[in-house]
Amino acid sequence: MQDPASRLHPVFLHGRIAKALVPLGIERWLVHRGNVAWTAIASGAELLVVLLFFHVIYLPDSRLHELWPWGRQLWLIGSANLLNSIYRFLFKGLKTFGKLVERGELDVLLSQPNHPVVRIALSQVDPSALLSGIYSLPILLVAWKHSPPLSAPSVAAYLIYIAIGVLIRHSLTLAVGLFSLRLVRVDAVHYVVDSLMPFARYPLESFSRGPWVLLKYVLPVVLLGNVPLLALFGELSVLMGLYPVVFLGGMHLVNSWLWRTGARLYASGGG
Amino acid sequence: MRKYVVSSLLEVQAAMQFRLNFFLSIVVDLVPNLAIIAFWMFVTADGSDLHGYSSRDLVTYYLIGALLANWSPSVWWEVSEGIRDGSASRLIVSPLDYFTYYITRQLGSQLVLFGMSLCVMLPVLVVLGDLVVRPTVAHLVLMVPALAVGFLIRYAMQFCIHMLAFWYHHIEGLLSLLRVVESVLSGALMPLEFLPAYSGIARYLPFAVLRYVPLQIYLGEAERGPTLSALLVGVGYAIVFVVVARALWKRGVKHYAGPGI
Repeated sequence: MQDPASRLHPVFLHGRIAKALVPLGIERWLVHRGNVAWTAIASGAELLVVLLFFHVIYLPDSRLHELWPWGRQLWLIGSANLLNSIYRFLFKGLKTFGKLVERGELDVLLSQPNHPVVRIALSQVDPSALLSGIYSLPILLVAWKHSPPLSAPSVAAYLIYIAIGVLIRHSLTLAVGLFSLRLVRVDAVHYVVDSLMPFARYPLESFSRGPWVLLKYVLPVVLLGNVPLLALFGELSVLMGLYPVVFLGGMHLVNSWLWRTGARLYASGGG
Repeated sequence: MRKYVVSSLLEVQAAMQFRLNFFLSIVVDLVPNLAIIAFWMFVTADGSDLHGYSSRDLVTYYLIGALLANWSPSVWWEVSEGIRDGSASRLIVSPLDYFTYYITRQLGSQLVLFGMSLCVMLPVLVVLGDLVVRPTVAHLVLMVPALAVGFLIRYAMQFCIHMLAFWYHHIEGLLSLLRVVESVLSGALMPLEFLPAYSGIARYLPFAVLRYVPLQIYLGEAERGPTLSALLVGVGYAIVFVVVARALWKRGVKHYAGPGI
C-alpha cells in the first residue's frame, strides 16, 4: 500500500508550511483528503436529511405552521448545526478522557502542569467540523432573508447564547467523562448525551409537557438551539435568559467536585 | 464450525462483562426514541392521519423501530484498523474464514443486546396497552426471516466498505455517508410513505429490509404485495452483498502489506 504522506504535494512538505499546518491538525486532513471529502459529503447529506425530515412534517395543514413558522424552524436547524460544529471543532477530544481512564493512561497528563481536562479537550481540534459549520450558513442566510429586521444587539445576544450553548454541551460531556473515574466505562452515557443533542433543533413548545420538561431544565438540550433564537427575536424572558448561565455555573461546580473527588479514585494501568 | 460458535459465545460473555454500561445503553437508547414519539404525538395531536399513519401507528412504528435498532450489526473498527495497522495478519494466517468469524462474533453480541432490549421494551408495550398496535403470532413469525435478511444485508454492506481499507487508508467518511443514506432509506427516520415521490423505489432498495419491511410486517401490512416482494428482493440483495464482500476480501488480501510484520 502506498504511504499516504507520499501523495501530498511537495509544497506541503516544505519546512515552514509543514510547521504551520501540524499544530492545526491540517496536515492529517490533507494526507487523508479522500476520506475528508467523503466526511464532508456525509455531513452535508446529514443536514439535508434534517431539512427533509422537517419539510415532511411541515405539511400544509400542519398545526406547526401556527406555532412555529417554517422560517423560524430554519433558524433553529441552522443554529443547532452551527453550535454542534463549533463544539466538535474545539472539544472533540474530550471523549477520549473516559478511554484514558478506562485504560489507566491518565498518568502522563496528571504529571504535567496544565489541567489535563483542558489539554485533552483541545488536543484534537477537528478541522473537518468546520465544514459542517459552513453548511449552516446558507440555511441561516435563507432564514435571515425571511425574518423581520434584526437589530445589532439582538444578533450579539444570539451569538453570546450560541457560545453559552457550546460551553453547556462541553460541560455535559465533561461531566460524563469525569464519571468514568468512578464507573470506568461510560460509553452509554456519552451515547445518550450525543443522541439527545439533535433535540436542540426541535421547537421549544413540543417539549413543554410531561416528562419532556426534563429536556428543557435538567438536560437542557432543547434550550441550546431555542434560547439563542428567542434572544434574536427579542422574546427572551428574564428567567429563560438567566437559566443557561446559572446552569453553566452549576455544571462548573459539579465538574470541579467530580474532578477533585474522582482523581483520588483513579488507578493507573501502567504503574 | 465449532470455532465460530465458541467465538460467538465468547462475545456473549464479553457483552455481559460491563453489565451496568450495557443495561444503561439499552435503557438510554429508548430516551431519544421516546422524545421523537413525543414530538410526533405533538404534531398529530389534532387526531389527523399523516400519509395514512394514525398516531397509534406512528407510536408503534418508532417504539418497535427503537427495538430493531438494537438488531443492527456494525462491523467493528478493528476490521479496517487491522488492515491498516497490520494486526489483521494473525487472522489471515489462522484457519478461519474472516467474514464468518466476524459475523458470528457480531451475532453473539447482537443476540444479547436484542434479548435485553426485548426485556426492557416488553413492559413498555404492555403499559401502553391500546396506544400501540398488537401484532398477531403469524406476523411475529414472519418478522424472523425479515430480521435475519436485514442482519445479513447490513453486515455484508458494511463489511464491503471496511474491505476498501485494503486500497484506501481511511473509510470512516464512506461509512458516515452510508449511515446517513441508511437512516432515510431504511425508514429509520420516518416511514417510507412520507417520501411520496420515492417510496416506491425505496421499498426495493436493500435498506428497506433493515427497518421498514419488518416494521410493516409488525403493523399488519404483511398481506400487502409490496412488503413480501420487498422481502424477497432483500434475499437477493443479501446474497449479492455476501458474494461481493467475500470477493473484496480475496482481492484485498493480495494488496495487504502487513505493516509491522
